[in-house]
Amino acid sequence: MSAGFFASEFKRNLKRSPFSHLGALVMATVLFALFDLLWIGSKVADDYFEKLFAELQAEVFFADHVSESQFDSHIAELRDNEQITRVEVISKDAARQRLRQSLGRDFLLENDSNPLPRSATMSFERGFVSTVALDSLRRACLRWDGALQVSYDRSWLSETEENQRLIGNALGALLIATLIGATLNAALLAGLVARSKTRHFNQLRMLGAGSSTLGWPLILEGALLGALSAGLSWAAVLYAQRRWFDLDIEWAIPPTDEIAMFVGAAAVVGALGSALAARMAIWRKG
Amino acid sequence: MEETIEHSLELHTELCFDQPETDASGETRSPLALKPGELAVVNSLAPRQVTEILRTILGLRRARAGSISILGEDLGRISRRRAQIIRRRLGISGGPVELVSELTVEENLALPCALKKYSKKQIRLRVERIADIFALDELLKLSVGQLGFVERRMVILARALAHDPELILLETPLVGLDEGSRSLAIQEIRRLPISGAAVMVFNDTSEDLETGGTAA
Repeated sequence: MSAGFFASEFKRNLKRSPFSHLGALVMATVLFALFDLLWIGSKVADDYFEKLFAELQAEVFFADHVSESQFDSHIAELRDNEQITRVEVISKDAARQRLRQSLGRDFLLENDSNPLPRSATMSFERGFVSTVALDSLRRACLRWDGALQVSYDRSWLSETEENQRLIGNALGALLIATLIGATLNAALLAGLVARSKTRHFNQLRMLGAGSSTLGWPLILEGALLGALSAGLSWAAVLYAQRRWFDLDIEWAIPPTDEIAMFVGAAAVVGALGSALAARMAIWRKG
Repeated sequence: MEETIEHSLELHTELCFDQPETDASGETRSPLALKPGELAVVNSLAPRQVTEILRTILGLRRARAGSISILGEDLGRISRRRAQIIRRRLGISGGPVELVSELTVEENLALPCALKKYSKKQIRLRVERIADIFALDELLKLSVGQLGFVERRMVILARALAHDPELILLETPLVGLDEGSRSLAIQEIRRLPISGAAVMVFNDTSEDLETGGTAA
């Protein structure tokens, strides 16, 4: 059957039950708008955690027996690491100065020598910091002769990563739930349309129409419903963001190509829902 | 290479006969059969039997015993998909066959041609031809709901013939038609076997199809 037949069937279905189609479109748009907001929320959360992690610094301490040339070589190696954005060298005197500033007085006055070691603090690229990455860096640094310790707030990092994972899982579950809702919505519409066309389908079957001739218009309708509602949901979210919620919060809107892929995926979701309903209504009867 | 079919239709089924398939001497009763290019009028079957035969051919029921062969293929042994494909080569009027109410007359006439995968141009030409034969030109754009009884019967008959089917089964095709429509129908039905189609008409007690009917 030609594209014209499918287009005509779609027009007929629309004419037969316009409110069902409108209702399904509105419901799907609302579901996808919720999906969009959750998607934005998960990106905002990811950005927030990334920023937070990027503020974490690590410090590597060196023993006194490490020569200047060895020390410079280790510092150069750290600076060559693309994931490390900044390396600040803290000499023994600078360390003593910092200790005095943080404690309010110099507790090392009575010492003959300065026991505080040289160190280097490291700041990292966004997206690099994780317990796994920093543990690996620590192991690499501790292989150096004279490296005493690599220090960073591991427990805080570990807890924050766990929180990030929990939030991610919760958002992921909600995203899956909205997708299932959207699929069922498309299936409901296709099922309603198929049930209302039982006589129509029977007559077409008697003329030799196969299950695909009967089912494809429903599947294409589902795909169109999915794509249209996904597009409308993004239009609504972006309009609302610009019109009513243009606050000082940075909305992590996904790039256009990701939104286009989402619309395509929504078409697949709609087609899948309709195919499930069509299978029950049509395929079983052969 | 076209395959040669010995019989377009063979009915070996309890639906045809009230009696068992073997007669008193134990001989197997001859099936109801039709060859390509034949026109047969069958008045020996009750309307209920004709309806059940058509329902079986249309896939709405399964024959409990015996077999029905359509265009050389036993309907009881082939897949549903294959049966659907064969149905596209048939033209049936009567029994449970009705017009598709959501479509216009033109779309109804085009349907069997579209299912046989003719091109758009071929479909248009066939619809125009069949509408011309049955004087349906003025009805083409009407919806099925706007048709009267006689007009519906003519459209159903025209649709059964629009796609040049190889086997045509018509149940009481002339009943209810006015004189002009009747004459057109008789003319077309009698012409069909000449082009190689097998035509079986059930329960036409007027004998017009056998004798040529009354000229308009």
